[in-house]
Amino acid sequence: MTYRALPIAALSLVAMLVAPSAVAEDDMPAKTAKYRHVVMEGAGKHMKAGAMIVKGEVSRTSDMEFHARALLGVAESLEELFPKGTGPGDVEKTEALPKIWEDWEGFVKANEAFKKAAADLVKAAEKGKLEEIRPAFGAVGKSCGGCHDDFRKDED
Amino acid sequence: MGALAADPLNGAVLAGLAGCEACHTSDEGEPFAGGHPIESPYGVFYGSNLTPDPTHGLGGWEYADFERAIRRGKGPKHAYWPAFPYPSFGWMTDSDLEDIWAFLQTLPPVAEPDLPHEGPAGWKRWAWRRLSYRPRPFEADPEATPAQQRGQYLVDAVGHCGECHSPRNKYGKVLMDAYLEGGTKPFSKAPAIDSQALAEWSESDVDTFLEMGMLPDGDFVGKEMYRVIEDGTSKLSADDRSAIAAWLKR
Repeated sequence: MTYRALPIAALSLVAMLVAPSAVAEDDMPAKTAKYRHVVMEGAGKHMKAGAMIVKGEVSRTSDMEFHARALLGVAESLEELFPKGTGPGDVEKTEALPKIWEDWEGFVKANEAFKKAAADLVKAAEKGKLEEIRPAFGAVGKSCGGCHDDFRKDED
Repeated sequence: MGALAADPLNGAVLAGLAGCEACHTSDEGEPFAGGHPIESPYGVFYGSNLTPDPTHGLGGWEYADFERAIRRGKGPKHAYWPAFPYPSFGWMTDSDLEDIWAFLQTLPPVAEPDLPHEGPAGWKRWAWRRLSYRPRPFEADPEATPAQQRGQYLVDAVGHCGECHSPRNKYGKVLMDAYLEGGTKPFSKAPAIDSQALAEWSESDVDTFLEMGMLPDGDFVGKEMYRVIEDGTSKLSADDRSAIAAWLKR
């Protein structure tokens, strides 16, 4: 090692000392991908619960409002859950297709449909009339499948 | 044919379930004007123009030509590749075929020439018909209820579900003794949908899936099945959807 390399060695030492945050930084894409997967599964469960209400399997019409609000919350934060560098190739486990980032405008547009449908469902749920909730709920479902159709990997 | 009695609205619903538009419309093109690529181990096939354009579509066809194409897979010049699922469509009733034909007449004609298929040599089509095409009449399950029989007809004939959800042998012949037990690569990776595979699904789960694409765990499907739901099963009457559920869950 030359003397000129010393400052670099010193810097490396500093880097090692602050290593924990550096590791967390490297881990960010995988954690983000896992977190968004969990959030999406959560959205799915709210849809599942909503379907049971809509189909009359349970008499819990008043619960539809909180399911709808949760779905709207997911829709509103969705774009932030897909930062650049969290796609396939960046992380090991993700069903996100590269098309999300290649066609970000299209992805945002698909999510607009989700946002609008979820907001409409909140309104219908506030009024509490099942005959209005039913089509609004169907529209949310359509937005889920519509986005998966273009932007999520098919299972092998 | 009972042309006067034909119902183009019913034809539109059936054409949706049969997936006509999905395979006969390109991404950028006019509906039913052809051009959608169907990738297969044998090459790429392009859906043809089904609009009533006299030069490029079915404008010069009579109902008898349409019926021959659907029932026996034969066009004016040659037989069709089985990417066009005529072995299943052949099970449709006369009345339903007449309705679909009536619906196709209502489409605006589009002067869009067909794209030539890429890959397989014509003799392979001949070989396929010799080895793998065994037309047989539709047989409704005699032990099924009328609703289940309706479901069976919608699944097997119009919906042609077995074309993707059944295994095939290496010549591409659908294995009827494993019908709906799941597709095999390289033809298809569609999952099994026989009653055993759907054991954990309730009839209501199947119904909800066909209506909006929700799986029993709350997930939503995309890709090929999304299109089947969007164009087909979501547009069916509630009775027909429950009939399919009743048949698959029998």
